[in-house]
Formats: sequence, structure tokens, C-alpha cells
Amino acid sequence: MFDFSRTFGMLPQFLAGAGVTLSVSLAGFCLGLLISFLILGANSSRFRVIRFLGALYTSFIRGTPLIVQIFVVYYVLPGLIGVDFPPLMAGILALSLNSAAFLAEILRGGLTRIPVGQFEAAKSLGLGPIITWVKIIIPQLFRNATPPMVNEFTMLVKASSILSVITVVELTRTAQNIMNVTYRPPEAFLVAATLYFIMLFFFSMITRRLEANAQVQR
Amino acid sequence: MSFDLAVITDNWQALAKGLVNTIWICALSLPIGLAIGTVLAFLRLWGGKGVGIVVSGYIELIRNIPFLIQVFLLFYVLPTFGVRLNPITASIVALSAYASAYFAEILRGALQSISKGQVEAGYALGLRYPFIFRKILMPQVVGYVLPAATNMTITLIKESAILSTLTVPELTYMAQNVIGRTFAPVEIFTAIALLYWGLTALLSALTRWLERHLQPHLVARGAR
Repeated sequence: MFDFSRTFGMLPQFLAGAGVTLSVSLAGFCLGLLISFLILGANSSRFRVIRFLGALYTSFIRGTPLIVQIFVVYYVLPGLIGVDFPPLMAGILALSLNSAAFLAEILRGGLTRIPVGQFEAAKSLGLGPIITWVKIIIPQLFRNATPPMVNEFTMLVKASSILSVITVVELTRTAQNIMNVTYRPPEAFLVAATLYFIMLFFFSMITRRLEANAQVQR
Repeated sequence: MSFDLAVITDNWQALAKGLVNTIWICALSLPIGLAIGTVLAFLRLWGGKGVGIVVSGYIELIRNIPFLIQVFLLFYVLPTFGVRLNPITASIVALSAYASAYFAEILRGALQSISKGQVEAGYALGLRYPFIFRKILMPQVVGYVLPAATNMTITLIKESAILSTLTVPELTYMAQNVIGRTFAPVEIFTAIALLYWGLTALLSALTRWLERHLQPHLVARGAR
């Protein structure tokens, strides 16, 4: 019924695909984190228009499918700004624009758990806003927000499979390519599924461990 | 660069057909997923150890494999066992299975979060379990599940866009079809992004309204 002999021979390619999946997700996550600080800033802006734009962005990202966002970045954005992206760059950009909205929500949640008194204390000690954020607020923010952030990374690894539709050769696309060589689709997708499961289960174990630790400290 | 509204108005029928398909496929998968998820949650809580392991294995598999891969597995692996599903049936099976795993976790969390003392207090008052379940546990579970179920519905609508890879004629597939004919990705993708956005925003508004009317005490307390 199943014949894995040829598919298993392709294992190095599968592993390379998994490597691309992880790198693309990590790149999307890091870029997304940077953008999320912009959104966070926009949400607490003095100007109503900027606050509105921040909320609009978050609502748009949460309300539309990622596959449509990927198509927008890959097919629509080049026409708007006149720059053609190769698939890999468009993919990373789409993932980061997507995760930025969710990361901003996570960071906002983490921020509400830091007492206002800390800002006031820093101010009364004569610390400037940059020192206050870098030395006092952000370290606590990251400690509060690490479990949901790892979870968001897990979501991103899952989401990155959709990049196969714009020909980014990550794990899913690798499986499709291999299926076209071996003519054995079930085996190719079973191997890909197993690799995804190993990676994602590992990350969700980490999330669970971090969440348990956070509860103990409280 | 110009935005040609005529492309959208000329092809609105194809897009409307896609939107209707997206809605009914999700509307059918949601209750199936909720029903299976409820059974799974009960099995996991009270089904004994062996059953619990099988159920949590299923839930972990669904939660830790990308939906796109699940769809491909359904479509390519099942025929090996002699089961051949057409794309629409495969979609409904995939979405229901996906939703069931998440609903099972939501319900388990809800049931576990209600303290045992409430059930014991019910027994102490001489109530029987079915009555305790109906009158004490259920009203609280609904309060937990409603917001989670909305999120799940929105997730389901968004994941359903992935079904376009199986040539299911839902909104994203219809859009790609129209673009193939008109070469107007900017207009069409903008149109369907707005349609999805409107649909999910409508659902969020609906739930907020439902919460206010079904669970006024929770909203008033600022629990959410």
C-alpha cells in the first residue's frame, strides 16, 4: 500500500525544506516584532487619526485570511510601490506584517500588567524615557509576554506552509516537488506532516513549560 | 497605476457565488465540529485513561500540523485506503475535524475551570448530576464558550480560504479564477479582502450583541 523507499531517499531535501520553514518563520517573527512596536506606538499616540490607523491595521490583519494577505503582498504591493519582490522576500514580509498585529496585541496585554507606578518611579529617579523603556519596562515585558510569543511563533511556523502557494520552497512546497518526482503523494505529505508535527509539538511543549513556570512565579 | 472598479462590478456574480460557498461550507462545518468537539471533551475528561490518550493524541495531531497539510493528507492519503472524497466533502471533513479539536480544548478548559465545590455543593443540596449539569455547569460553560466559539468561527472562515488549493469554488478560488480571466489582481484581491473583513467584523459585532443579551451579568462585571 504505502511505499516509502523512494520518498525516504529524499529525506535530506525534506530536512532542508524544514530548515527553510524555520528560517522563514524566524525572520518573519523578528521583523514582525519590530513592526509590532510601531503598532504599539501608534495605538498609544496622541493623535486620534494615528490611533485609528493602528486599530484599522490590526482589525484588517485579524479579519482576513493569511493566504489573501500573501497574495496582496506578492501580487498587489509591487504594483503600488513599484518594487518587485522575489517569492522568499514577499513571503517573509507577509508573515511579518501578519504576526506584527498579533504580537502588538500580546505586548499590549503584557504592558497592562506592568504597574503605572514603575513609570512614575523611573521619572522621579530622573531617568529619561529611553532608559526607562530599555532598562525597566522592556525586560519585564518580555518576561510577561514570552509564553504567548512562543505560541505566536508556533502559529507562524504553521502559517508558513501557505507560502508554498507563491513558490517559496519550504517544507510543504518541498513535499509537492518530491511528489512530482516520486509520483507518491501520500508518502510525501505523510513525511512532511511528521516533520511539522515534531517541530510544532516541540514548540508547544516549550510554551506549556513556560506557562507553568509563569504561574509558579505569580 | 489605476484602480478599475468596473472589473469588480463586471464579475460580482462570481465573487458573490464564492462568498456564498465560503459561508455555507463554514456554516455546515461549525456545528459538526462543535458536536464532535463536545463528545471529545467529555471522552477526554471522563472516558478513562486509554480513551483519554487516544483523544488527546488526535487533538495534538490536529493542532500541530498545518491546516494546508491536513487538507492534502485528506485528499491524497485517504484514496490509498479506498476512500475518495470530492473536494467539497473533503473540505467539510477537514474543517469539521479542525474545529472539533479546538472546540474540545475550549470545552475542556471551560468545564475544568468551574470549581469542583460547585458540583459538591449541588450534591449536598440533594440535586442529581443531570440537574447540576444543566442548571449549574451549562450556564457558566456558555459564558466561556461564546467568545471562544466566535474566534473559532472567524478562524474557520479564514482557514477555509486555504481550500482554494483543492479547487473548492469558495471566495479565494473564485477570485483567482476571475484574475485568470481579467488580469486584475489589485482590484479583485482588494475586493475579496474587504469581503472577508466585512464578514468577520459582522460576526464579531453579532457576538458582542449576543453576549450582552445572553450574559449581561458577565459584561456588566467587566469580566471580558
